[in-house]
Amino acid sequence: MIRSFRAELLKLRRPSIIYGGSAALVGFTLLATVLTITTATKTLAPPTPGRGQAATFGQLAETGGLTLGFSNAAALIGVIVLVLFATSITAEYGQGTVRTMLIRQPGRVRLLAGKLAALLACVAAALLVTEIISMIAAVVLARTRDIPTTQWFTAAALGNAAGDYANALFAAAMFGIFGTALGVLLRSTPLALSIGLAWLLPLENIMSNSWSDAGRWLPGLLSRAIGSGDTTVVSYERAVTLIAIYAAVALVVASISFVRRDVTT
Amino acid sequence: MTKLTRKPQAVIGHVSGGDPPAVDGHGLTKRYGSRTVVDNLDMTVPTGVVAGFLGPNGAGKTTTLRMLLGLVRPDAGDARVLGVALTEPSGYLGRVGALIESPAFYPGLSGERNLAVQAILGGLDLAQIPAVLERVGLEGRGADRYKTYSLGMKQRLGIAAALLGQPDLLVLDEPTNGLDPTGIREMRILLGSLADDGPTVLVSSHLLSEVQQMCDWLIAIDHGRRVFQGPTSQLLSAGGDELVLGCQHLSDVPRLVALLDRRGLHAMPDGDRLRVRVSHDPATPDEAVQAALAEINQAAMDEQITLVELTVARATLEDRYLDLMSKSGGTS
Repeated sequence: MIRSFRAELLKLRRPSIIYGGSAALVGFTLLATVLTITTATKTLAPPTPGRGQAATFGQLAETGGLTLGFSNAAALIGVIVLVLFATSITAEYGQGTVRTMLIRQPGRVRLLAGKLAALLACVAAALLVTEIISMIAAVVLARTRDIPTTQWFTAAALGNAAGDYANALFAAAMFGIFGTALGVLLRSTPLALSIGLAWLLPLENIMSNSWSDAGRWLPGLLSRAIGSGDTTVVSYERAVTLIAIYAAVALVVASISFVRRDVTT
Repeated sequence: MTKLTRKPQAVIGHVSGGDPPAVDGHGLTKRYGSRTVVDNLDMTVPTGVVAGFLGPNGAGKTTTLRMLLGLVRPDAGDARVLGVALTEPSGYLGRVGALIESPAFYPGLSGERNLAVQAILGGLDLAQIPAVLERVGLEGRGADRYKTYSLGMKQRLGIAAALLGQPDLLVLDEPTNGLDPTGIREMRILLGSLADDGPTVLVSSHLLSEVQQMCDWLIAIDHGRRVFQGPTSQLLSAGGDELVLGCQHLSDVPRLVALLDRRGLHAMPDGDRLRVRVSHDPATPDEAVQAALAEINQAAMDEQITLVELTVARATLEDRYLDLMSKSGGTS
């Protein structure tokens, strides 16, 4: 597994992946941060149709305000991570490199585990950088809008930031595992992405409009709830437990498929 | 014609029960749905030989090689590769280098880094990468991205990857696929150099002239079934060789025909030449043909017949291969 992990890290050290992936994560997070602060209102305003509830100056001034933009970006980050993980697997089939990998490392579970661990390590590093950039942007933007930031430079704010990071990383890992499972099962980039994105974006949202308990059961909504720290629909504990079960099932199914299916590409 | 083999004794050793084979498969079978791609295939590759794996498109060559490399699970049968059971690929794949179908690398990575990925995965020493690049003639291009390589360079990088770790068995599937004549010649020279001091080689190819030059052991399959296995010389000499004779004076031809007839050789006219098929012991084809040539030459001299041509028109591998395939009902 260590060899697979190191080999995957070497593959990931490509400018197109480092800069492309980081740019996507930082870009979406900055966008969320800018929107969170620039749309904030001094008093609680009624939600705008299609845009949701804007934050208030009071909410932003609290210890959690520093990373509110970062937390709001969690859903989009999850989608990016799902795409990255799924394409990382399907590209191996598309390029035929899965053959050479398996000849060099016939332990298929170890190969998959090492690859997944390397991808998660990269996501963890990228999320940390992204959160720091988001915090810097929040401080700069807060000054332009006269939002009080004294609570942002306290130990409690740092603890909040660490918690938000952990939540975002957990959610990203779950999206990553679902992406990996899709990649292994479908072996095709267009199929994996179309099914994954269709499920996460329109389908779950449509279902949540007609099914009041959707947020308590559907994996995408649960992951988003964890990432954003929004526990109004589902408790944090339930969301973590349920999504961990879903991810474990996805991992087992992906591993069995990866081990048992012939490689004919 | 330079034959690029190195260890003919290995073939003899195998035949006489010497070294254990590098590949020893029995009843290998693979089905996809109702289609049987590999059908009860027995195959043996003696240790130390350069073995050619022949068959028409769709004969099951690549599927067989995939089974040997642990990529595809056989539905029936078993095999041992380098003495280890097929069901334990991690026990032998560390000593196997392979190029299956087209070379598969990461286009955005350099040749060196692609090899490094494979070396790390296989737990191999990264320090050998410059040496294998030099071995395949890619020194100075290792830092270039794979996607900038020509087809010939890609194939050579595939060979370089297979050479990592100094494998005991090299499995090469159509290494000359898509190459132009110059690239094919370069690849033949490269494979020949590997054969000089390298591992056992199992190479599948459609280029029969190349296989004839490179390989001292052949396995031919059709419709997933084996149609020949043995030394290349055995297949080439199957059914004997043909001698071509020409007389200085055409008036001597009837006497030469009679002379040959007395020795049990049936001469067939071919323009102003005669063709005679000589059967012999497949184990010693060269000696038998040399003896026949000497005997005919001596007899012609004794009868005052001057020969201006006395040559061996030995069948090519292509001739023998097409014979095999026509008998098995296959097409190439």
